This record gives sequence, structure tokens and C-alpha cells, in this order.
Amino acid sequence: METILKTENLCKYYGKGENEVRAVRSADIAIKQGEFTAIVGKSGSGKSTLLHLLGGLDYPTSGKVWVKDKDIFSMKEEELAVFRRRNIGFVFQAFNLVSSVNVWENIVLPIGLDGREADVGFAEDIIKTLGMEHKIHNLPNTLSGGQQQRVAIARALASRPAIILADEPTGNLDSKTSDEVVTLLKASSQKYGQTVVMITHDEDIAQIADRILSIEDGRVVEQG
Amino acid sequence: MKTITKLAASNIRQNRTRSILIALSIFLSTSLLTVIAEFGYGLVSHNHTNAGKIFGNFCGQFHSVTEGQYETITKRSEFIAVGRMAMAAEAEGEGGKLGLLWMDQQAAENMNVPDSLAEGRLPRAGHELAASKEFLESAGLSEPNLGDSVTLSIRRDLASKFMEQEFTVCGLIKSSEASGFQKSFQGYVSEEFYVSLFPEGQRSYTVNFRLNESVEINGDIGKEVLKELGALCGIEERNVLENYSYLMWAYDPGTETVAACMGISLIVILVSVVVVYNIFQVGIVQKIQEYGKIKALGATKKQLKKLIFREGMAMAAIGIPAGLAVGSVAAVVLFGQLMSGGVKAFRDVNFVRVNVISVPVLLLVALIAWFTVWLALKKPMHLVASISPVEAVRYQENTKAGRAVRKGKKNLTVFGMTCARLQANWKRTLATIFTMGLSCVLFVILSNITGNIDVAFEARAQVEYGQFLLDLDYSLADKAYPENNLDEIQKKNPLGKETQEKLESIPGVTKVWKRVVFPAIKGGNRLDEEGVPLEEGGSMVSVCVLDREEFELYGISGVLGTVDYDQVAEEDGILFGYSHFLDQYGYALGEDIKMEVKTPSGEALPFTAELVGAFGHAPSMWAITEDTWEKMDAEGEFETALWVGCEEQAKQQVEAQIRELAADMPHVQVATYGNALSQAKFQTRVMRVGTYAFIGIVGLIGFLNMANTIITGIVTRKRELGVLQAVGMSNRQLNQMLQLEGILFSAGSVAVSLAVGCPLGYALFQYAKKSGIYGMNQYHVPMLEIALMAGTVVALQGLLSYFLSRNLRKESLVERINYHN
Repeated sequence: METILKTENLCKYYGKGENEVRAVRSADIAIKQGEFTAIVGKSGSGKSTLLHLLGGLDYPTSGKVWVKDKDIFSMKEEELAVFRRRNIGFVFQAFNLVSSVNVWENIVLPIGLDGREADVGFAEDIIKTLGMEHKIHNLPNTLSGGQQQRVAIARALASRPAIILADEPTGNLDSKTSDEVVTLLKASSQKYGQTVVMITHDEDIAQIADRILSIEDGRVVEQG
Repeated sequence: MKTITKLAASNIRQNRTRSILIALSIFLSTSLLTVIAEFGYGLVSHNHTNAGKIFGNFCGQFHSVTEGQYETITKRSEFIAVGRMAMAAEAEGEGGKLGLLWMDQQAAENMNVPDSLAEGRLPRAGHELAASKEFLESAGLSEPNLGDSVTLSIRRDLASKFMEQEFTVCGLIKSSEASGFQKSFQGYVSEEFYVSLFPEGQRSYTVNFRLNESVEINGDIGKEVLKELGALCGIEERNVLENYSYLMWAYDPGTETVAACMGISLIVILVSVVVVYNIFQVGIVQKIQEYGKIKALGATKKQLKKLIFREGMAMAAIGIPAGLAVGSVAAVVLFGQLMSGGVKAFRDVNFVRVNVISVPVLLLVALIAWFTVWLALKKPMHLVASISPVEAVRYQENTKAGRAVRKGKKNLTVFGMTCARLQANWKRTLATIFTMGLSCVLFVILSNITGNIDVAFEARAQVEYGQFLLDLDYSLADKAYPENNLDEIQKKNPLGKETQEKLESIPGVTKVWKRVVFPAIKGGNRLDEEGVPLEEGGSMVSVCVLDREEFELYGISGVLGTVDYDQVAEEDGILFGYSHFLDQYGYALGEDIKMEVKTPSGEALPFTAELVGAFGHAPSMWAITEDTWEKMDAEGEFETALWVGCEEQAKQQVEAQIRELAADMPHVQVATYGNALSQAKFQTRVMRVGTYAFIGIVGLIGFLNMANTIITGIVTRKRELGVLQAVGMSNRQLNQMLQLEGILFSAGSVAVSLAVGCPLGYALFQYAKKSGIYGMNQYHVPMLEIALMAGTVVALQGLLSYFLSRNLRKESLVERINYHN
């Protein structure tokens, strides 16, 4: 399988001198096309920072990130924004749906921002897969947490990105809903051959992944 | 208790940007209120204190008062400080007319004449004269001094011959800046001189007076009260003139004026309240969520209310005093500017200086500002106290409206998303538009005044067409010098065809316009233009011939009957020149007017026409159409005025040639449009400077408030904008979205400000026009000012959106996504 995401000696440090915090230390990761990877770590271990770096939302202190063989930090800001919307899908812990537009519009938003017409059949299929077909006209604040996260997953899938980065997607959900959402994320990624990197602090949730990496004090290691 | 105060203080520090913005908006609104209130207070107290000095120290005047009537007036208890004056004679001066006026000590004091003396005193006896430098220069005395002798060629009225008379200068009157534009000047002579010219029985006075305190009078009822009092002394209604401004300021403004001032103040207060209230509401969502957390930690309703109240009051404690201070300074500066302009225009009157700053007014402003903040705090206080902590934490704006679904669009663009956002938060959108619009309302209202100060209109009243005017200086009833009468001048009309051809041949001249006014003898037991009863055999009147365009021009306002050109031409009707005086002259629409036209050849053409209407004002007492005039087929040259239009670059040479030509023409005087315009500009200067300064401050505060609203609107949406960027919105698109929002807000704001401001501005204009403020003539929408305002609003929006989106990007996306309030 082709490597879709790769990091090399990726570091992110905050502060200086005695106050320096090494959130990510020399991370070397390679994620293959279609792989469902979980990165597990405790609170403050640096997992969110790592994910932000992988998605080009934050800049590293040193090191590189390649997505589809492109060094994302060599790109200019505007170029990176376009690259991100075409190649990276995000699922946030706080859902982060746009409250003023409905479910359908939230899902096709990244495609619209890219100036493309939405593939209606594909989007409808995703919505059906995620069981949201009766809610497409609803506004986000009328949905439950689980439903909102399903919309966020659909949004990430709809633009057919190279990779989906999920930051604690179950962090705001109860355990039953968490299981449902993660199962749906796994199922849909399999159905659409989508590469997923999911961050979680929950070891049980991580078990659903094809591969588990763990992060502790900023260092990433492969788990058994 | 201490915990709550500490918490409030730390909240303010924590949300520094928002706190600064709120404090700034309180400061700006307080400044605006202070400027308006203190400026208004200064103006009212200045006018009240100086009413006598500005408008004359008298309630009214009676004209054409006989000696007997004067005696009656002095005996009646209603009148006090009765002064008497009379026109003694006219004198010939270089380039202008000179008048010699006698007034007694009381009349002089009532008219503030002693204040205007630069040197010496007013005449007491014999041939003493007090006059301005310009008067004496016009009489041929350069560099006049007290004790100088000057010989004037004088006559007491149109029936008398001129005679030489030597006067001794006993007083010099101060000059004003307006003197430069004057053509006629007045000098003061003694009672002895007046009496020597007018034997007993021929004397007619103008009497000015104040009224006893027992007489109830104010600006509204002044005219009626004076008419009644005049009637008791045998004074006809038309000879009664009230000093409206003095009555309004020195006595009681009357309910109408008070209502107008109250209305304006209420608008200002309303604008301020709405502006501050709305700025508080922008970003209230996060605040409610935050208060919810504190409630969840165990704060009681009472404690929370106190917390919110103290936070608000802490910001008011900074904003209100600062606003009062800055507003007061601005009011003092602005008032000083206005007064320095006013003093120059009012001939160095020694005004009593008034204090613009009033502590009660400041306290009132502070109270209103405080009340506004309190009102703005009521919503969050009520909300937080009434909902559960969980609800508060999850609080979203407009959720109560309960819109669960949105039809939406198949594809979402930046434009679509912007519209969706504005639509979803429609309450906030409308509130923001309304707030920003109101910031501009005062600007629009005042623009209706500044934009309508029509100096060109006033100048065109003097020189109707082109750049230069040559007109005849004629009389209609000069018995002593009949050669000065119109019929005699027209026998060898200096403005005839020959002159017209000469004017047309001047290089650079583009067009020559002419006006025909013919003399006619009108019989009957009526009054002439001067109000003097017509003698047997009739007296001379002037009739002007107007074309279609002029009919439209003079027919704009104050008309009676028909002024439609075609209708008047078809009926060969005649119109009266001054509708206001129609009744006084005893004419009625529909009656036949009979007269005999006097042609230059001495022929008398009988002419009868139906009085079909009256203009508000016209070039002469009577007017007919060009069509009717052609039918009359009168032979001769009847032009009384010629206007010359020329190319801009040839103006100087053309003027020189016209003046040279006119120098040899008797009875012809030259006026230029340039001078008329300068004069009009001078006369409106005080008002222009005042209103433009005021409009500047109002505009600045309005725009700053608007900027405040925009900044708050963007800063509080930092997270939402961050999320949009995380899912793929580029910087350019973010910029586009903010710009688009800005344009929609701007368009809405301009629409609101026009919808509210224009009707109110129009009403204010009509009020100003009715009050007789110079320069207020024809209303037109102040397009230039509005375009300037709209342009500034759009530019401000654009610039702010651009800089704010740049500023937002200084923080990383992660910081923005994780931003909480």
C-alpha cells in the first residue's frame, strides 16, 4: 500500500528555557492509504498537537509532514488552505458545525469553498450510510451530540480527502453513542476506502483501529 | 461581596478586548450626548442672555405712527421703553444710497446703536451726524475723524429737490464685515434737523417698545398680542411688526419651539440608548455561557445579577466620565468657533460671555448614559437569573425562535454562507444594521440643513442669469426729478438694442438675456408700492413681462390662484407680484385690473386684464406673460435689466468692458454674480461653520460607534471563523466573506439612516425655512453628503474587515478553534 502521510523528525515545542514544553518530540510516522490508525495518549501527552501538525493547522518547531508526497509546510498559507480542503478532512471533538446552515449544507461546505459542485449521489450515499437522511434540512442545534458528530464525519468524507483526521471524536459523547459513532466512522472509512487517523484517550475505542500508535510526553511509539 | 467584585474585575481583565470596546462605546455615546446637550445649553443661554444685543431690545415696532398715536402709546401702561425714530432724508453717495435717520435716546438704546459707536456720540442738536466710515467715504470724506465737516446733497422725499447741507461728524459707527457688501448706508442725525425738514402734521414715526411684565406674550402669540395692542392705539395691522427672535429668546420660546427642541433631544437620546444597548448585546452569547458556568459553581441569582451589574458599572465608570470630559471640551471649542464667527458678523457687539458648561446638564447627561448602560445590562441579568446553569452554558442566540430546519441550497458558496449566517442571526443582523444606521441618522438629518444652504440660490436671486447684471435704477414717483422715473428713462433707454448689440460683440460673451418691465398708470383709490395712497389721476406702477421659464421659477412657492403660463397667456391675465400683500393692497382674484401703458413715444395704451393669480415674489408689482405682451404690440425699448453670460476665462476682460460701457450710461448699475455669491456665502458663514463642525463631530462619533460594532462583531466570532478556515476556507475567502457582510451591513445601515434621517431632515429644513433662516430655500436631497457618508461607511467597513481578518490570522488556526470568548 502506498504511504499517504509521513512525518520526519516532527517536533513542536512551546515556551523557552525552563518553561519549555516539548509537546511533540521527533515523531516519525507513516500512514498507509486506507489504514484506520488510532493514536492513543493521556491528557497532555501531545496527541492533539500532533494531529494539528498532521493537518497543517499548526506549524512545527522543526521536522516535516508529507501528505500525498507533498511537504505541506513548504506551501504558502493560501496554498495550504486549498490543499487542506482538498486532501484533509477534520472531525473535531466539539463537532464544530456551522450553526447557520443545515445538515446538507454543512456536509457540502468544503466542496463549495473549493468552488466545485457537490457530487449529490455520493453525498446522499454517505448521509444514508450514517443514518442522517431524514435530518438533512435540520439546523445543527436541533441535533443530538451523536447526530452532530455523524454530520461532522459526513462532512469529512464528502470531499473525498486523502486522509481524515479525527480529534477525540467521541470526547463529548456518552459511551453508547461513542461506540455508535466510532463504528460508523470505521464502517464508512472501509466503504469508501478512506484513510483515517483518530486521536483518543480511550484505549477501548482505539481497539477498533487497524493500527494503534501511542503517544507519551510527545514521543510516538508503535503499540504491539 | 468581595468575591463578586473581584470576579467582576477579573472578568473585565480576562475579556479585555470586549471590555475596551464596551467602555469605548459608552465613552463615545456619552461624548455625543455631552456635546449636543452642552452646545444646546450654551446656545440657549447665549441667546437668552444676549437676546437684546443680538435681536434688538424691543418686543415690536409700529410703523407710520402719527404724533397723536405716539402720545397714546406712551400713555398706555402696556408699553414701556418706548422709542421713536424717523427717516429724515436721503442723500446721494458715491456708488450707493445714503439714508439719514433720526432716533431718540430710547429708540437708539432699544436698537443697540450706542454699543455700535466706535468713537464720539450720537447727534444731539443741529447738523450733527454720526455714521460709519463707509457712509462718510461714500459721501466723499476719506479718513473721517470726529469734528470733520461733510457736505451732503439731501432731500426729504421723492417730491423734494436735492439741496446741499453741511454736517459735523460727532460720532463714528463701527464697521462690520458685512459692510463690504453693502451698497446703502445709514447715518444718524438730530431731532432738531428732522423737525426742521418735517413741519408738524407731516411727521411719521417708527416706534419701538418693550411690554410691561403684566402683558402675557411669547414667540408663538407675539404677533397677535401686538396687533391687539396696536389696534388700541389706532395702528393698522400692516404697520405692526413683532421682534420674533427677541420675544422667543428673552421671553418664552412658546410651545412650538420647545416641542421642536425636545424632539431633537429625544432623537439624540434614543440614538445613544440604542447604540450602547446594541453594542452590549453583540457577543452576549459567550457572556451568558460564562455567567452560566459561574452559576453552576454555586453563585446565587442575586450574586450573579450583582456580578453583571458591577462589570457594566465598572466600564461605565471609565466611559461616562471620559465621555463627559471629552464632550465638554468639544462643546467649548465648537461653541467658541461659532461665537467668533458670530461676533464678526454682528458688528462687534459686546456679547455677554456665557458658560457653556453646566453642572446640572452634565449630571443629566451622566444620568442618561448610566440609565442606558443599566438598560443594556437588564437583558443578561434577567436571562442569567431566570435560566438554569446548564441552559446558560449551552445558550445560543435566537434559539427561542425555534427554527429547526432550513431549506438550504444544493451547493454552498461564500455568498450563500454569508447570507445564511445573516439570516440565521436575523435579530442580531437587524440590531447591528439598526445600530449602525442610527449612528448615521443624525448625520443625515443635519446634512439636510448643511446640504440645503443654498448660496447659489440666494446669489441667483440677485443676478438671475449669466455672470453680470446691468439694470436700471429707476423711480416710479419722483416728483422733483421726473427724469428718474421709468417712463422718462425708457424714452432713451440705455439698455436698448444698441447696448445689447454692444454687449453681444464683447469677445467671450456667450449670451445676453433681457427683462422687459413697462410703466403703466393705474388709477383708483388704492395704494402704490410704497403703501402711499394713490393721488387722483392714478400713479405709476411697473409691470414685468415673464417668459415660460420665469413663470416656473417664480411660481415655485407662495402662489395664489393660477400661475400656469399657458392658462394665464390664454386668458391674457395679470398676476400680482407679492401674494402676501394682496389683501393689504385691497385686491381680490378675479377682479379686472385697468391701467394705461406708457410707451416711450408718450402714447398711452389702455390695458385691462383679469387678476388671475399672484406670485410669492416677482421682479415687480405686476406681471404678465410674454404672449400677452406681444399681443399688446407696444412700440419702444422697455428693457430694465440685461444679463450677460460669458466664457469662464474671459470673465475679467468682459467685466472690464461692461463697466467701461456702463460708466457712460445714466441710471445703469452693474452687479456681478461673483459678488452676489460672496455676499451669500458671507451671510451663511456662521451657520455653515457651525453646522459643518457639528456634523463633523456627529459623523466622527457615529462612525466610531460603527467601527466599534464591526470590531466587536468580528472579534466575538473568532472561533466560528477559525472552524471555517479549518474545513477549507482560504484567507481570500474569509476576507471576501467579511467584506460581503460589511457591504450588506453598510447598505442596510445607509438605508436605515436615509429612511429615518431624510423625513426628519426634511421636517427640520421646513422648520428652518419657516423660521426664515437665510439660505434655506428649495429643498433637495443632500446627495453629496449622503454619497460621502455612504462612501465613508463602505470604506470604513472594507478597511476594518481587511485589517481585522489580517489581525485574526496572526493567531494560529488552533488557537482560534480553541478560542473561548
